[in-house]
Amino acid sequence: MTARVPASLAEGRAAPVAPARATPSGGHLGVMARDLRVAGRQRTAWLLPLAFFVAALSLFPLGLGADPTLLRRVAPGVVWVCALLSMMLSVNQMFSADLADGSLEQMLIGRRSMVGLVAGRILAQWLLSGGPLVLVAPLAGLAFGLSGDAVGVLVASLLLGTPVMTMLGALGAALALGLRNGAALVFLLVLPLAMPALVFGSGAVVAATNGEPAGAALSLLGALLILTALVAPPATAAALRISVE
Amino acid sequence: MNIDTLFNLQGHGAFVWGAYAPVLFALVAEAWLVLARLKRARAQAGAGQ
Amino acid sequence: MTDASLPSTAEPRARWTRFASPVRFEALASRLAPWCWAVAVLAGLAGLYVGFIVAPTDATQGEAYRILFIHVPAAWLSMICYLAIAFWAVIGWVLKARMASRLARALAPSGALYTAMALWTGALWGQPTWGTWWVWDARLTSELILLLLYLGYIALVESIDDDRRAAQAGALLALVGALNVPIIYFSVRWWNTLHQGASISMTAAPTMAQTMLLALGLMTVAFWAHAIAATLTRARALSFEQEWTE
Repeated sequence: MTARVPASLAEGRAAPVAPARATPSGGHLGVMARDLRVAGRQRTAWLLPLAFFVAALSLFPLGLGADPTLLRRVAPGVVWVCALLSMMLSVNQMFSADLADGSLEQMLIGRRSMVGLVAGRILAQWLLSGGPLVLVAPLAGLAFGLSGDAVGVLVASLLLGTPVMTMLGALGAALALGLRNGAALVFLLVLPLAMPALVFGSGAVVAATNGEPAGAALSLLGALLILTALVAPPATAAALRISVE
Repeated sequence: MNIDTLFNLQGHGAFVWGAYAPVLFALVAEAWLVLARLKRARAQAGAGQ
Repeated sequence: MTDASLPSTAEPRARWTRFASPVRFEALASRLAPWCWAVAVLAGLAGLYVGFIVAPTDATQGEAYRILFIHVPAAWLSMICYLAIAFWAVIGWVLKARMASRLARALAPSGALYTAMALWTGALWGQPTWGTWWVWDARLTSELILLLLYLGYIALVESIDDDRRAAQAGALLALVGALNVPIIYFSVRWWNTLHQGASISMTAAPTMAQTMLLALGLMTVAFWAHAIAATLTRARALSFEQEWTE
């Protein structure tokens, strides 16, 4: 009975003004593909976090002074913190469009597993807000005077760490869905949970700058990624159910 | 220990009392506030019926 | 206020689940709380007396060590309260017992307060003893993150108007937080050794004389009793606010 009807046709509702984020008929890949198409049209989706990342990074030399040794020392932490904050910026609206056009409620009524939608959104969100950071990170590393090895470790750490932050952000966004101070609340909820990733990620780069092996820290980060991937999406699905019902 | 030493505490008096005073105050204040909240809630519940 | 006007709850299977009924909880809590307040006051006064008048000056730390009589209980309770929140929140979620969710919500402000106290007293203990107000060591940093977890929980639960959604969302967040606490603590310890930060352990209490232990024990009892009394009272208030005004 639960046919997968696009939200625009369901119950005589007028076609949504927003680009069709309707009930995904292709599972999580369909969700992701649609998100990316939308993002291709609305460039702010991925440009904004990137611009914030660059802007935030630039604040530090201005605030701390341009001493190369100092910048090299603070680079791991600074790049990581800026990455974390810029990702948190865009995470808030991950599910709000679905809530607005009713497709979230539709999925819940249809008793479909939300994990598919969640996985798709997380993937799309990471590609939009996490991926660009990983690509730009080498430039940031060089701007702060990191050595080639350290830059490599920086990229690796962000590659492992940004998905963690996206998944945690998704959980926060789902919990705070529709609340009045949702944006600030998501920050407060997610930042403490993201601290281990920050510690391991920047720690790996610090080890690299000191010439020590970064393997231990990166392995810890990898383990954290696996653990988060197992726990966060189901938790996010549960949170969506809680927030909408 | 007499009153003088109790406050001076070998020069550490400021720290020790700086720690104890807010804590004790906060514990008493919390108790008072939570009891006031209960009283208010009961009054409202009584009035609502 | 009659039984009939209250929504019914699940049939009690074991004796303790009788108190899942808000009415029975109210009866129990209203009798228990005054005793707890009394114990808190008496144990607290006794503890202060033993701690200041009876206990001797410490050989290494002088008089400042007396701060530990409130720092240690506050720190312990800050952690226990968080675990209790996660425990009651999950019970409330799984068994759909509203009173359990209320207990979780009632614990949070007290827990947050104790965490703040632990941080405050820790700083004041650190300055005369080790020369720094704040030290980013593993325990204090973890305590700070714990405070943030509390504040996040309180902010989330208070932002949601619907009580049921608030309870369930809070439970999920508390559970995720509780699972994260060991990870956070491990990562902070790892970070501490990596950066060769302060190796000062703020828990390095002086070797304790009998009287010091007695004072610490009394203050611990006082803090526990205060926490239980405050939580029970707050849970009672929540019952009146949520159920008996509709």
